[in-house]
Amino acid sequence: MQTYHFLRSLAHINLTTPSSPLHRRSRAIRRAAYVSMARAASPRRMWTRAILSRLQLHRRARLLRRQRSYKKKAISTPHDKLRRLVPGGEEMDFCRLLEETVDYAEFLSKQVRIMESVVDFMEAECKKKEEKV
Amino acid sequence: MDPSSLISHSTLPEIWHFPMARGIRETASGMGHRDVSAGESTVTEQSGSLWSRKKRRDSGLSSAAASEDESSKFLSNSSGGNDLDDSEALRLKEGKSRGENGEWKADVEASSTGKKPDQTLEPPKQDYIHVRARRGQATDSHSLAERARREKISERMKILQDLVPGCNKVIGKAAVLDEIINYIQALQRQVELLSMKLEAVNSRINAGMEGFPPKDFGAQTYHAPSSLRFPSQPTREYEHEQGSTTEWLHMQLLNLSEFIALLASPCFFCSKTSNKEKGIDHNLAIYESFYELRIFRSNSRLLIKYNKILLIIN
Repeated sequence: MQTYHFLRSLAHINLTTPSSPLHRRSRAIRRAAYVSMARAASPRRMWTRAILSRLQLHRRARLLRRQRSYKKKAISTPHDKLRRLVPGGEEMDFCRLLEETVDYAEFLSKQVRIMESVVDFMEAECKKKEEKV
Repeated sequence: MDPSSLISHSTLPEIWHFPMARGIRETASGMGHRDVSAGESTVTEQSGSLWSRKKRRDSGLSSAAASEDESSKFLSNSSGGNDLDDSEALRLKEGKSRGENGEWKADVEASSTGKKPDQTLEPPKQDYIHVRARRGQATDSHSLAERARREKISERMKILQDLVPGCNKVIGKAAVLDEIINYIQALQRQVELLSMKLEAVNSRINAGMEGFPPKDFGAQTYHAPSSLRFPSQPTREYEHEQGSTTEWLHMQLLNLSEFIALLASPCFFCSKTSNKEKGIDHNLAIYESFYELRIFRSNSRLLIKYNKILLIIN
């Protein structure tokens, strides 16, 4: 499911933004990766909702996020670090946060594996093309 | 110094005591019933509170017994002060009987308390119950919830420990948390770098041919074996060098940065050393050179370093 979402969004990115600068495209791909993770996971999870809502509010909330980032710099205990890492973790209590972390880490590692396999595949394709040429 | 008042005094605890003890037992039994239904944590919890109550009761009983003794002494004293022998004897008897009563009661108390410790001594073997008991009844529900929460947290920590590689050996909550944070950060960084890499590959493909073949891919990547070799991938790529185009360099630089990110996290380094395709010394050499790379960030220097690394690898 995750792979399906990811590949679809990749194709979408490829179609919609063929000539945008490099960093923006890579950012779009990253976002696609996270969103595909969130779509594949159960919607009851806090982090999936956080990711998806962030996607919806993406353009509107840029300013807000900047303001928030100023606030975030003040705290640096391990709990708060974890809170910042897991999407939507700022509003959770610690118990819930750990639960979400378990889920999130699982999906992240899966996503990494998927992306690696995709990259491998594409490189193999590239090599084939170059050999043919 | 009315004997009657004294008697009433001495009898008062008698009357007062038993119902109280009964009441306590009843409450205890009631608690026991509740405990069975509510589960383990509540059992220990309630037994803790019971223990505290019992403690109080013991102190109360001892004080009551002391008061009884005192009252009997008073009785004897007061009766000693009286002139009438019969009445004195009678009262002495009364006092004695009362004293006996007191003794008997004390025995009963002792037996009851002897029973109670049997019931209550079992739970206090666990350490936290002592703390619970000292806290008292006011924090019952809070402490219950708190305990449930702590149990949940420890459970999840265990799950996370199993999930994060190389985290089983770490002792201490803070260290485990640090490991988890490192792991998740590494994963996020990896996603970021992989997205960059994907973008680069994609642009390369686009340069060669137009369009992304999404439909072909879907089927094939599903069947592709999930590549578990995280870090060995970049080194493999160095071996298959293809022309020194700018794109290729870009790719390699991406690989470099990914490599650094991977090596920065201890978990991946462990997994790397366990992966015995390449020698450990080789890995260390790469690691060192990459560490230097991390310090020199400007592009020209990076390229020089990069050449050195290629030399090491080849």
